[in-house]
Amino acid sequence: MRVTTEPDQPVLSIQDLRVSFHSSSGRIHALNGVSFDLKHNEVLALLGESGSGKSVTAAAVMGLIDQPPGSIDSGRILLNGRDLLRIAPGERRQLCGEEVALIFQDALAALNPVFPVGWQIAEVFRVHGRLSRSDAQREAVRLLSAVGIPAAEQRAKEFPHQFSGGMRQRVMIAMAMALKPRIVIADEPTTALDVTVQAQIIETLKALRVETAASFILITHDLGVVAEMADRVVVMYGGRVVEVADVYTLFSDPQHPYTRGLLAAQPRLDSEGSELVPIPGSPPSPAALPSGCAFRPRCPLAQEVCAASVPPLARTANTSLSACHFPGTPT
Amino acid sequence: MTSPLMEDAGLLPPSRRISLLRLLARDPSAMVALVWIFVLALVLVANVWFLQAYSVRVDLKLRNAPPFTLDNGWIYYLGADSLGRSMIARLAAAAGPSLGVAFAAVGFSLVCGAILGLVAGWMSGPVGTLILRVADMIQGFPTFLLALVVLYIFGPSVVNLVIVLGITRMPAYVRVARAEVLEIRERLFIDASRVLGASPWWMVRQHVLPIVAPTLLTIASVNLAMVMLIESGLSFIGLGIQPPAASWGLMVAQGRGYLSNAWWLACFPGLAIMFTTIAFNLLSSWFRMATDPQQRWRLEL
Repeated sequence: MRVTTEPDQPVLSIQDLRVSFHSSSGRIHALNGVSFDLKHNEVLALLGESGSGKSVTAAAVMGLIDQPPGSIDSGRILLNGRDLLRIAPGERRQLCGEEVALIFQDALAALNPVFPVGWQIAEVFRVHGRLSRSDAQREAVRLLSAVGIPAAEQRAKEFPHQFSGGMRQRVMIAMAMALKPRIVIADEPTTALDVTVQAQIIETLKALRVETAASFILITHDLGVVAEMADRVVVMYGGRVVEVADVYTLFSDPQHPYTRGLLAAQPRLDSEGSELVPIPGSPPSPAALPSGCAFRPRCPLAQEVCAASVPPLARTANTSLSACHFPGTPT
Repeated sequence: MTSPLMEDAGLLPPSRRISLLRLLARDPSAMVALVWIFVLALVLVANVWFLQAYSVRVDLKLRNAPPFTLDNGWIYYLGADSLGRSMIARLAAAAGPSLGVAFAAVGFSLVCGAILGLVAGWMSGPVGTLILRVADMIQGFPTFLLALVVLYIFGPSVVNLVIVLGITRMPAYVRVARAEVLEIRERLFIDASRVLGASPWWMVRQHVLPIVAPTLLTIASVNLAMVMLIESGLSFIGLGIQPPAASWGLMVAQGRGYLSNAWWLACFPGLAIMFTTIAFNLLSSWFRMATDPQQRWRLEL
């Protein structure tokens, strides 16, 4: 059931998504009105620190938020104009895997330890009743070699614990790409890997993007990965989107003081000798967000207005979107 | 040692897949246990084939004939009981009911316990709580006592015996299955399966059950021994299998009165109970290791 979309129309549109969790220490507001669009065949990076709401956004799209303790308080997640939050569970299951797929960060935990990896890739086809057991197995072997696993026939019969970290991540990618979904969410796909393997995984993802024409949401806190892969960047902080920009604009002319801080805290090859500038303070607890702008306590530009009202995401002079009362002001 | 770690490091050739049977051959104690089970199977066949007739043939001249002599023919090699019936034929005739009750009761409690445990674990809520509380109530009584009361009220028959033993052993399966499901359903690969579009039924059947099953089967094989002992005990006090049918427990009970002058009447069925329970226990520990991919290399040494 594929609907062809116009290239400039978003394939996925998240609008004013609010998600909170019950806990013994009160309500935790994980997402406070997140909105962004994913365009056709683009790589959109969700950038932010731990606790900024990147992974919760992915979990909400994939329907992985257990209710209770979680609750989706408001918002819409539109896929081909249909709101994922308001369709029947069976219909949503149908879309999972076929239209949207997720690559997990921790591949070892995301693979069932008691089944060979080939079986688990084949499972994707069997869940959707696409192929018979033997056809699915053959297809799984083909997918394994497609993501760069040598001796796929033999490796398909092995168990997850017999694979190295990079190889397991490739298995995850093969599973996610199995049904050629149009949207792939990669939740920190390279975080647990060493640098050379990271580069290989990114190459694999890039190749798949060209091959399948899928759109990617790349969740990361690694600016290097963003620069390497992303077309556009959504910067998140305290469960809100604080800046949306294309990747060149973001690196050359960041508008939000948090984005500036992130870039200043990153070592650069072309500025040898200059010191790294950390962002003072620590990210706010989602259980007790400060009033107004969540970045206010750490922001060098903070004024009274920042405590009084949450700055809306607004178009800035350089066509980025930024949620700051003083966008573009040098710090 | 073929540990997973060394395979990861590429120190060994890619793991050879060793069939379960070859793994069995490498574990001597499990092999011995399997041989004993095989002997029992042969005995069951022999019983149907020709021993049945001997088990009811009374020869009062041979009352309490002593064992280990071929004077009366090989069929009396293990002696004769107080009615002059061949011990070999009696033991064979008793194997069927003893094993039959044990397998039926364990199978019943395994299947029902697994289903109830999976449901209780997957659906934490009123349903899960109800299942658990009922299991607690059953577990609150000693198995033997409960079986005694129920069989006294409903009368001792094989079907009642199986049902009572099955239900009283069930809480172990329910509790273990539930505890494992509670842990497994929070694991990331369940989320991974959900993300692929799997239904709850698929996740339970394909991901949860295969992980819970080896544990439950291990409990089942331990329980097989325990149920046999309880059945023997119940038959011993006269509430289990009723004469003229035979069971090893009943034979021990009937031989008790002759312990001072014909020890073989009680001793051989007792040994049969002991060897069978030990065999099931040994097989269960082998099975637990062989079905766990991360433990299996211990057997592949």
